[in-house]
Amino acid sequence: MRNVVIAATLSIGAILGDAQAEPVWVQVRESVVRSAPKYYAAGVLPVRYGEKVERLSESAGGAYVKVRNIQGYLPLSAVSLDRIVLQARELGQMSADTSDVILAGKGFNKEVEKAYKSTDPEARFDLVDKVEQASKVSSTEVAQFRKAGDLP
Amino acid sequence: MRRAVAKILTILTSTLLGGCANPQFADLGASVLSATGYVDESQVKGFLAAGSKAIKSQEELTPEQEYYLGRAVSARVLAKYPPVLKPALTRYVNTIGRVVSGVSDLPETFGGYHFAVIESDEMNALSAPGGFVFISRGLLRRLKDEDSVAAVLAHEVAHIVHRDGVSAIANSNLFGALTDAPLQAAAIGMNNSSIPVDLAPLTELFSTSVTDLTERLLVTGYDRSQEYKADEYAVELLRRAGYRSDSVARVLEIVQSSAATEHGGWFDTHPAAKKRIEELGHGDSISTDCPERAARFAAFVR
Repeated sequence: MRNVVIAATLSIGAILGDAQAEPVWVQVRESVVRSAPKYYAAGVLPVRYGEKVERLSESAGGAYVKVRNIQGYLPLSAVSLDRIVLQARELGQMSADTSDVILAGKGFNKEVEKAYKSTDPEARFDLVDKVEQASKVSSTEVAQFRKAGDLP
Repeated sequence: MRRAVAKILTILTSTLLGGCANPQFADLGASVLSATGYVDESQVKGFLAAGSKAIKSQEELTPEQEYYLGRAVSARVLAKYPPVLKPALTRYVNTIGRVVSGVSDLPETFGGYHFAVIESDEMNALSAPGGFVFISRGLLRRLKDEDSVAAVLAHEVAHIVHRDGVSAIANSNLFGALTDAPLQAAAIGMNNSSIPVDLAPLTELFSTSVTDLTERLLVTGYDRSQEYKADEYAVELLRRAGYRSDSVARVLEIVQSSAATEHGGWFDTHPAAKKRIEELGHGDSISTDCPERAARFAAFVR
């Protein structure tokens, strides 16, 4: 009987939780769902640009989300309420009254950068690429660095 | 024929975006376009729905657009000041940068944060939208500890979080002109890139924005109020990260002490250090000096 009550309570909780859930989309190239609403918390699941996640709740520290049956936190700035459509042809599958849409790659994008390069040969995109490549630091390294440097 | 479809789409969407969003007109347009056989009615309606949303969503650049704008501005900056690509120093500066950006209200940008030391004897640091931060070798050489490096980087991260770079071009027709962009993206998707898309207007807008912002970063600088707010937020970031929060003021004192003999860089683009210290105050610091931080600063910077 006790198990039935627990199961029923969990089910009601899940239903209520889902009732408040709202779809949001990852708006950064890559992010990680974390175990706590802190950027330095342990990562539990990587997510990618345009991926749909369910926002269960929100706090100053981040959005509590569910994705692929995993729950955890993403920074508020990493998700968008607007649906991000990676392939424009998906527009054809959307209902006519769909209005909250961001098209990935709209506006300033890779194609515009490519066109711009031809107009500004002095711009050093090769150096930007090098800077991007050289600046990769893993979360583990940051954690060790903070610990060694007595940073909380 | 495909060019014709693209032109019709252009006219339809331009008209809608221009303020003639009439449902009957949209239905008519959808019927006309679907009659061409190249797209079906639902595609057109979805497309038009996206176009109408564009008006609302152009109030700010998406993280992706900020990233590409930041890349181009950085390409201009690095053409003038090449990066110092010493692996150990680069890793050190990036790790400090990750510590302070990670506690900010924008811990993740579209392409991530990138910190680089640039070749310049001037005392200078600057940042571009999307997460690109540069600190000059000249400024780095004059800093006394890791906490001061963190203070400089935190100030630049503050500009990114506050989107000061984008605001430098916000008074232009940026957001209005970008309303054509969804059309271009949709046209490419619906026709497997076979519809030629004229990127010239967008590229021109991009170029103008890059020029505006580069000039703001290298010549005129941000508004004084933006600088004071960046100083204030940098103190908060240092506090959150565990660094000495009086380090912003300590850096400003170094800048001030050099003001009589140096020029260029921060001296041209920032308010006087004395005034910034007055605005900021010294405050107190709960963090103390740490031997390990002193040792690694000496190893990587000295």
